[in-house]
Amino acid sequence: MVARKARKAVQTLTESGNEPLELPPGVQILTDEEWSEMVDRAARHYLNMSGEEFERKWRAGEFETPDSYPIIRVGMLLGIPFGR
Amino acid sequence: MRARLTTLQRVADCLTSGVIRVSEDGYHPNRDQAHRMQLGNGMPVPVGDVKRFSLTVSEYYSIARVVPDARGWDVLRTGYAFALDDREDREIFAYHWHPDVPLSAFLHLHINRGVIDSEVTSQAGLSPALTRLRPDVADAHFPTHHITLGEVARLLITQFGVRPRRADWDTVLRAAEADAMR
Repeated sequence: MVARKARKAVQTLTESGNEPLELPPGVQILTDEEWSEMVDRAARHYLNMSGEEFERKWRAGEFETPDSYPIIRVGMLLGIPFGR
Repeated sequence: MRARLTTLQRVADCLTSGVIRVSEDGYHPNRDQAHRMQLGNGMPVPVGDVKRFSLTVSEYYSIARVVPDARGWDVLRTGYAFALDDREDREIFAYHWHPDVPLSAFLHLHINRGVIDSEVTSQAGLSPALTRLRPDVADAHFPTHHITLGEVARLLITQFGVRPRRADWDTVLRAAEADAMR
């Protein structure tokens, strides 16, 4: 439901400020909340921790091998520089 | 941006029914955080018509004007991770580019435990979970060029036996490769 609202809202935005925007077929835009749910799902699956806890450790630079499997799979979802 | 997402979704359609998802605000020039693109829901998506493999695709991108005062905006890829797992969910390989992770900011390839044939280890009475690569290979970051989702799709179809979902897969991948060269 939330995703449907977000997609509808996005279609009213403009891409460059000039052209009406329509999403390509199949592509979805997630809200920040939905994206956080995705991070949480991955963190629990791969590392048995919440997304919130993963993000805290990622920001604090607490993973010894941040680009190793499976840490990087969750880390790539965050879009945040490691240790900053 | 729309053209880029259209291309990515068409390439993904060659392998999977998974859809491309982008982060909120992902159509606008970046502020602090990278825009994110993910195939599926954060977990690997099955590829091909038999569950032999699953694929994880993450990309970062920026929307910016490369040429000052230009009218249009450019979509610049700023990071990626493409990973292939076997049917036991063991990672086989992963192409990475994550400039914000220290010591491995360059473009590289990981080889992981999924390269070990689980049928052989099983016949030998060994658990796949206990198999290990030699440490230097397991820890190595093999340098690569910039890898695209189209290249990964072609690799899987032509060399890993993944059956394409689209009959026009070669045309789609050629178009994507041409886009990437621009």
